[in-house]
Amino acid sequence: MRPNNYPPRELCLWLPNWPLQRLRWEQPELRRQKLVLYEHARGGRRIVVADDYPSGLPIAEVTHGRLLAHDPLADAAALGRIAELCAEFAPSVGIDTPDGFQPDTLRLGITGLGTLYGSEERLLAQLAAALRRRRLHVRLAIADSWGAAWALAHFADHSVISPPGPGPLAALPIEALRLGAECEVLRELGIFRVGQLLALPRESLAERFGAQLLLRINQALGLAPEPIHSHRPAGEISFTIQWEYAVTQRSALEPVFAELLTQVERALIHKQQGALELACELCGEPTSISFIVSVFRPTTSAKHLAELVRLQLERQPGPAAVSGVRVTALRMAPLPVWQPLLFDDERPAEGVHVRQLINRLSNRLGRLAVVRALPVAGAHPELVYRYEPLTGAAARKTISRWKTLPRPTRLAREPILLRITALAAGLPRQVQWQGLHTIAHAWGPERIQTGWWRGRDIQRDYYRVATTAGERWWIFRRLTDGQWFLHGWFD
Amino acid sequence: MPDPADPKRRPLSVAPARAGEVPYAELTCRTNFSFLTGASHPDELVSRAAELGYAALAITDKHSVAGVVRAHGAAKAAGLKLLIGATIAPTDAPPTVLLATDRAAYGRLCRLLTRGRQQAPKGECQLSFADLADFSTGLIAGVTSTNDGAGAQRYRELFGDRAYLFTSLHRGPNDALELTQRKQFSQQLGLPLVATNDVHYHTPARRPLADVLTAIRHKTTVAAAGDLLHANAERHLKSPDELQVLFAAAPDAFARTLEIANRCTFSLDELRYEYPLELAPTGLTPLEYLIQLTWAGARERYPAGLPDKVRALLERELALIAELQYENYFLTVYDLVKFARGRNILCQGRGSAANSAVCFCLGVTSVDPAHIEVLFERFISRERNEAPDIDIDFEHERREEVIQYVYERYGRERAGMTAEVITYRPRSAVRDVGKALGLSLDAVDRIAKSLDSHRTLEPARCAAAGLAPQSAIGRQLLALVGQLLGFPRHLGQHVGGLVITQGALCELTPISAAAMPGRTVIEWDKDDLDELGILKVDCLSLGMLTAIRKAFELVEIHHGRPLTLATIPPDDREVYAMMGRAETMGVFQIESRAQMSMLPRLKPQCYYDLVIEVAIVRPGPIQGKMVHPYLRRRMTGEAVPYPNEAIRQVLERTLGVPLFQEQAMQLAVAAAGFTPGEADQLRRAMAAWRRPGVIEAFRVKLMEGMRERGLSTEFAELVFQQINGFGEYGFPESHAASFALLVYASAYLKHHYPAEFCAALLNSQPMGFYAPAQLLREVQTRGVAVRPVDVNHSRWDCTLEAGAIRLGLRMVSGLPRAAAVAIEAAQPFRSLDALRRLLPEHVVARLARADAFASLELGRRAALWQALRPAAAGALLQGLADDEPPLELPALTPHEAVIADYATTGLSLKGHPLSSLRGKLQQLGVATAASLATLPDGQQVKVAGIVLMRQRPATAKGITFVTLEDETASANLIVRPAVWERHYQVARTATACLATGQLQNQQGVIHVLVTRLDDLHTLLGKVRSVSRDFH
Repeated sequence: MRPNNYPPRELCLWLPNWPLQRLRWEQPELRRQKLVLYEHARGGRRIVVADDYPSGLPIAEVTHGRLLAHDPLADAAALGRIAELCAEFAPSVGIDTPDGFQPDTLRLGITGLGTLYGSEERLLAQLAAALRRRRLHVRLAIADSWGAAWALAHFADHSVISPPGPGPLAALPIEALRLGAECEVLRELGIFRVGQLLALPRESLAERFGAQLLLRINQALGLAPEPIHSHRPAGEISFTIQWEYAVTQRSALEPVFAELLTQVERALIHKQQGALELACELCGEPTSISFIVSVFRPTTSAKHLAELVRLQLERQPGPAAVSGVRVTALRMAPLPVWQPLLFDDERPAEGVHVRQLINRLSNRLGRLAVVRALPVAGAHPELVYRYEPLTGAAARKTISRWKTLPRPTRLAREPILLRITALAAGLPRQVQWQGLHTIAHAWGPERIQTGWWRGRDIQRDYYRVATTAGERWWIFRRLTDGQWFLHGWFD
Repeated sequence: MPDPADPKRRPLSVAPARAGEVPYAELTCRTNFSFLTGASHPDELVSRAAELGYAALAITDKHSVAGVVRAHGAAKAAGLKLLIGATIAPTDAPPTVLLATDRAAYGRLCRLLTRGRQQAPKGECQLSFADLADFSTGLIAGVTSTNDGAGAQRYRELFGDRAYLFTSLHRGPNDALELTQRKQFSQQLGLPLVATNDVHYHTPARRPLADVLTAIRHKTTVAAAGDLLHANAERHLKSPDELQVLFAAAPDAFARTLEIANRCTFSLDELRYEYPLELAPTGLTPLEYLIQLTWAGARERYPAGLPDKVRALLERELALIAELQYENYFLTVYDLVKFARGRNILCQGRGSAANSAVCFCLGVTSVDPAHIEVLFERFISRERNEAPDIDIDFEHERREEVIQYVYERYGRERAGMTAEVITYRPRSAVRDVGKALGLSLDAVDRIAKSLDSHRTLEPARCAAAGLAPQSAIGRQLLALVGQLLGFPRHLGQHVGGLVITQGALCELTPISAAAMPGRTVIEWDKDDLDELGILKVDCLSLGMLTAIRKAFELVEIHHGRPLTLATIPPDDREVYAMMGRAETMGVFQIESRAQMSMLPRLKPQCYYDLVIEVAIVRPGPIQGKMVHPYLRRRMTGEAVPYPNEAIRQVLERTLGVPLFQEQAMQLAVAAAGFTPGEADQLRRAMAAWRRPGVIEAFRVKLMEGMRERGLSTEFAELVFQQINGFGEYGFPESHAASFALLVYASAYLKHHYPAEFCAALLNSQPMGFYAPAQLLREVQTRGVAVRPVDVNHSRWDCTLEAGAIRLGLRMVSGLPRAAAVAIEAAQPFRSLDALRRLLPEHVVARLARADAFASLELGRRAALWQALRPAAAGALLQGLADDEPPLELPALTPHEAVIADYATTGLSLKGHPLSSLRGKLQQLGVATAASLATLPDGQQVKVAGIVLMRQRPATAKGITFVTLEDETASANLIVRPAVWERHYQVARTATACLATGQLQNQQGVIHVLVTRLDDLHTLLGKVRSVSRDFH
């Protein structure tokens, strides 16, 4: 069958108010509520789309409805799923991505499909039914150019199948031609409908409004081509192996992973990237499992990655039978470039060993079990650090502010209340904590008063003290009630 | 128009300093004039320092001395020694504190800051060490850096024994070690070590506010500010004992604070103000010259002979002027007025200066003292010993010429604009604090909005914004906003205050370039200048003066009648009759809605009635409940009982009701035995923020004085209340009298030359209460024809064509003046192409959209179609016949045409946007605005129209007055706060409304008490908002 035997036909599928529909599709409990989706714009939160309010309104004006943050990425992902669904109806499906707008429209190339379904009406009816089952509200239009199909789907008041020719377009408003600022001027000239616009001499129009207007007219009339771009993204690193029959032996998986990871390695080297996170999927019956392998520094080594996969596999209660395996690179980062050394030295090798150890521990014990502390700006001692997993993140420089401050190497989980048995010159002399200690020297105080905005206003005078036994502590006096606490140890 | 509430806070009443046992002087202290760094007002710091027994306190704001006058006033009251200085951060040397030892050194500090400001963008200051070197004499330097040995060395070399090393200890991690290191550093460099506390606030309780200010400064939140915040609250004013303990290891550093304080002998009291001297011709002293000018002026003013009353006034005034040595001030003002007259710029003195017969004879003011009660003490008084204050209005379009003349005459070294301290208001405070506390911007906005009228957090709005007022963050917000209110945010420029000196102004205060080109501004505001007794002339601008001058010019051209303010015939019955009918749109002062509803009741008959009319519709008399008694007495002619003859003299001319500030003062004199000077002090105390506590003393004195004179307590209380009402809002009689002259002049022009007057108003826009559309509609009802903008007939300004107004190109919104000048020069045009060769495409398109091609027989759409054609096509075809076939574009419907007119010129001569909607509106049961007068009081009505104005006077308890206009008339709506709240969006933003409510018709004054508001926008399409909102 040669496509040019058939006149070109295009189907446009528009999901009005897609961000709202998408939320209700994914969270049916929202169907009965009025929704207000907002985004953070300059000068505060503004409405993106809402049931009862116009777009662009500041949230401050909203009096009712449930406030939710607009999530364009989730919208795009869900639209991709709809596109996948539509791929069952037509061989080529594209997502319409207009400049500066959130996509909410799909394009189906249906040239010649009418005969396949019996008629275009039946194709339209089946597609509509499939979407209606999912409670999606759509507008559909079929025409012989993408421009015309788009116009009819967005501006006709019901779903239509247009006969060939510009006839049905004439009554639509000029916005249906996907025009920009020209619309405003055209309306000033009294041109409101497509029919009026088409009646004007094209040359005069081109002179005044430029080539884009003419292109849009020609696209609507099918005089200018507009290729379809498939919705499937290109360039992902993902490899799959499928078997006719399910495999039950765990040991059989290892060479499979080794093979897949070698492919991944090749692809990574080709891209000059190292993997930070890999998703491994075991497709099985009845369930599939997937796990994530993450590493400390980007790597391409299939051997090392295979070892990490093995460590994870041993932890995973896998499916009894596996019918396929997929490995996908989730996060990548550029490979560190080493200056080649004239003579071998130990440095990089040693680094490699530490990195490999970190990777093994992380993949064996879990990513959150191998962490490092990062400084956080502020004065409140309990809150000046946070933990971060070592693997799965791009390398980052740490600030060296801790070097300038006299801070203990260990901090008590909670400040420990001290019982003072003797005081001298306002400072503790003898302290009861896991035995009796005599304090020989004290340096300080360092006064820390902070945190009022957290509702935890701390007021403390910190001292570094040395006991006669040679221990060095970090203690403080709470200024509000004069009680003493042990907060850390200088080991 | 509501007066904005005075944002100034009341300074503390300061306790006298107590002698400290441990002598200590704080040498580094920032006030909140180190914007977003210091967290206390200057007077708070001074007061606390005095309380703690400090030997002295230095004010050292960053690159500024803006806060020192306030500190000086407080320090004088508290008996604390104040040192004046600033913190300087040169770009190429460590930062330092500079302190002035004497007057000359202070002058150099000001010169240094002036130079720094000249070298940096507005609001900033940039200095190098070389700049410091030029002005170092007499200044003490306190270097604060500890790690830049070479830099500190340069200070030692430059300042010699006036260089010190300042150090402060704030309970950091290693205080003891640091002190040791600094002692070593100081010894190595030979810079004596001095203890300071680098104070940022007066009490540790201000730490949260200081944190918030830091967060605002760095545009972050307190929670995210991290190390930008200080770790503790040690930068407050500590007791000398505490500091002595802190510096126990360096006792000489502590003792040296006193040594430095003793070296600084400068006080702001030494700033002796000197008036410019060059104004008298050689051979005459300024006083002799002033006397000569005054009597010469008097002969001119009173050609028929000087009335005895005026002669006596002049003699008394001249004597007082001589005694207080104000002659140069009068000559300065006279010089400005003479300049303006020479340039044919209309000007007129306003305010208290009109109380002076000398000013009248010099031509500064226009109110004849023979005809009005003058009270010279209101202007200058012996007791007050404050610089007199003359305000002069100039034409708003030409005031800049006067200001530039001042610069030219005295030089930029000697003249500058007064500063205006822009302070935190409720809205800005909530916004900034809210952001710093991490509230989302819209939540902050929402709360900020709820503050306009109520000044407190409204629970409902807060809850809607996700903030419970009782929650921790709600309480923090409230407390911090309360503290931040009144904090200076930045220095602006006063609208017209000019300071002129004999010596160099930049040795008095630093001068910086203002945002407006050609202007320079000093660091002190008018209260600071008052405190120091420095002269200032207010050159204000008044749109009506521009309009009157332009009307005079048009009258002269078209009627050959040269008119001036002085030659307008007085007491024209017809003019008063017109005002009595409230036909005063466009007339100065009495065109507002409130004034218009007063006019038919007051029915002015003479000039003095106008003075009353101007003064009576003011918040003061309204709040003092004086309006109705006055109207009743005037209408019924009922006899007014006066307690005694003295009071009768004061109040008789206003029928027993005090309407003017002067009367309040005279009452204090006549009824309670105040001296005129005391009465003036009373008035100033009433201005609320100045001297709290003083009011009570005056009250007691006033009540006792009246009791002694046998007046009843009730009467005394009434008088006090009435005087109190004037504090902020009342007009002085002299001011009202000056304005009334302009009221009469503009009314005279309106009555006799409506077309010229209207054209002059249009050519002076923006000004006044009404938009051009209303002014034109009104003038059409007076039988004046109005012709549309046309490229072949219009000039830039509106002109007159055989008695009809031809709208000018200035009415086309967004048309550049340069384009209009080019059009004027090239008129007439035979084709649109001719215009296209002259002007860029978008300008021609703008004219086409404004329908300005009627004389070329091109409609709006046809012209636009032609105008859109790129200029290149025209250039190629120059001289050739255009080969493009003409195009039939759909014609505009009448309604579309009107809407397009409004969108491009803000008005339409073809009709009203509502007339074509009338059919639809009738179906909705909407009445026309004109028909409201015929409907019975209390009836439910609907009325629709374009929103002309939204007004919320401060006196109206949150009620908003909205004016709607339809094709028949305008309708006045009253929107109560609850209704406003319910229809918030429509009420606040809609350009056209449909209002439902109850009709109120009280003696012909018609309002609709609104219960519901709807947006007409969808019916009307695009209408450029012509509404003027006053909140």
